[in-house]
Amino acid sequence: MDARPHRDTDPDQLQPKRRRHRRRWLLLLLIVPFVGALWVPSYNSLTPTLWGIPFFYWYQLLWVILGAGITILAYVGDPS
Amino acid sequence: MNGPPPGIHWIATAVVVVLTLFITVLGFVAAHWRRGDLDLLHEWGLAGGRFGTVVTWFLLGGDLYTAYTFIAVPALIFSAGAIGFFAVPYTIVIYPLVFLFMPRLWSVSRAHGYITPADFVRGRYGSRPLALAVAIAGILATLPYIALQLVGIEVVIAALGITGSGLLGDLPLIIAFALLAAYTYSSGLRAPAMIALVKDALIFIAVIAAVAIIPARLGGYAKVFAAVPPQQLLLTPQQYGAYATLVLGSALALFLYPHSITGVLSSSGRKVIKRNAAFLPAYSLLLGLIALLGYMAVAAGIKPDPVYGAQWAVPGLFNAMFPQWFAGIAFAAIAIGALVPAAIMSIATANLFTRNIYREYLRPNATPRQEARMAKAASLVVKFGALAFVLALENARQEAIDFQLLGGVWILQTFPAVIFGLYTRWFHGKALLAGWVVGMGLGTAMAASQHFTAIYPLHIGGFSMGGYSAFYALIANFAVTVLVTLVLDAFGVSRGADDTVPADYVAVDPGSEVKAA
Repeated sequence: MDARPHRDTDPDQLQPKRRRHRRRWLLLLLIVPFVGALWVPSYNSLTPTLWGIPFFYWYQLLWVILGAGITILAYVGDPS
Repeated sequence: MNGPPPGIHWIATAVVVVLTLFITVLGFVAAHWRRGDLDLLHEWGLAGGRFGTVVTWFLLGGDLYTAYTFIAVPALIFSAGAIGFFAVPYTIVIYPLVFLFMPRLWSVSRAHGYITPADFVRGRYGSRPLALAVAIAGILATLPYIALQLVGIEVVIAALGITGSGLLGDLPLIIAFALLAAYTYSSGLRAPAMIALVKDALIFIAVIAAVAIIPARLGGYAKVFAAVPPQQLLLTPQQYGAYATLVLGSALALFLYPHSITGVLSSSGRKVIKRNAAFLPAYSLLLGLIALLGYMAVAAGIKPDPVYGAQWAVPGLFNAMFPQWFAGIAFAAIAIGALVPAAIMSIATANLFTRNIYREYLRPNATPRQEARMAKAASLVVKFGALAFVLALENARQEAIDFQLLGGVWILQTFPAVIFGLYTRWFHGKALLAGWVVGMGLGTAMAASQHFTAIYPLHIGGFSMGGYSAFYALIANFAVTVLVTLVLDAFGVSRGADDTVPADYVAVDPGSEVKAA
């Protein structure tokens, strides 16, 4: 894509295109929470604990926050 | 266990009664909020589709995180341990799905005046039988859900020490539901939206206090978890498949429920939905903390109740740990947390019945006013049907839970028609119907064979893989849909009419208000 000839010659046309490209990439991030939540063996462990809470529990709660952060990024990339 | 003495807890009861009366007044006042002509179905049943980000956040929060969730999730943790925590990863994967799917459904629905998922299927595939199938699955799946909200209120009433047999014992529940029915009838979707603000505020207060005060009184989280039998704290490797399929299957199902879609379609734009996909996880965090109340109940020495079993975990814990007035606030939060979704569910079911059965089959020339009148009547029938079910059946609590499980199986079978339909018209309507029939039959059989538990041990070759029956049924449904589509294509069968065009699915502003259609 970067090697396309019109790129240097027509910067006005390029700007919106490049922004759209970046948006699509942000939407791909939405796959990440699925990996975190569905890869069960990766978190089925008691340790390390956090404030006395076993890993299994705080790790999944952490993913709630990470998932929300990722959705915010996706929104920034594609708000409408 | 140092709870209040037996008998009615008057202070807690007074708090619950006052808060319930307060939200009842709100429910009636809501009719005047963002005023619209409530004799039109899209005004009564979707509040005109004008809710912004904040109201939608409260409405969907009140809609999806129900009283039954607050009772049942900790109850499962209390009795079964780690597997009950699946509700948390389930809500992690929901919102990326909402972000992707629901703006498309909103746009196409707004462009064509659809107010139910079955309306969309009817327009997209031009197939009346398929739309009827989606409507029936939606109604059947929602009815037990409403009954479960009643069960949630019953548990709260019992936790206030109000027990009794016969009509007198049932009276509080009947009064609560009669009030609910009255303001839903008069205000439509505006009522639960306004009440949801109060409900969510109460829930946040109760839960934050609970997770701050209770672990401290029990000696910290380490002590809480140390009180739980160690083998309950983690999954066994045999449970991995069950856990993952429960998470994925439940997540795919949630936004097919009519009441979820009603919440989405009442919002004022795609942006509102996407923002909510980012901010609704605040409730998931709350849900995770509520789930841990199950272990706190174990550590506090709460015993399962002879009548309510493990569902007693949270009410028992609150009675033991909180002063009466605060327990009253928490119980009011749960009871109101049942009334909000019960209202939205009955409205969503009424919308489905009115649009996809009444207008489609019984009175094709119904005017918008007749539609609205029918929907209001249907919402009453649905609510009192659920009430009669809960009061009349000896074993209603268990029956409602069993049917709720089946409801999850059934609603997930509409996934290919509704969600794939948002992206492609490749599947034949007839093929989707065939897949739906197979999925419904197989899923019901699988759930019944396991005495209505969610996990079905699928045997492939020498292996047995436990998984969520709804998910297995969806795979079969999808396979049949693809196969029949290929066969119909081979015979050159036409795909039929499609009212929608690709631009409909991404339209940012397909008209500022819901069309009366």
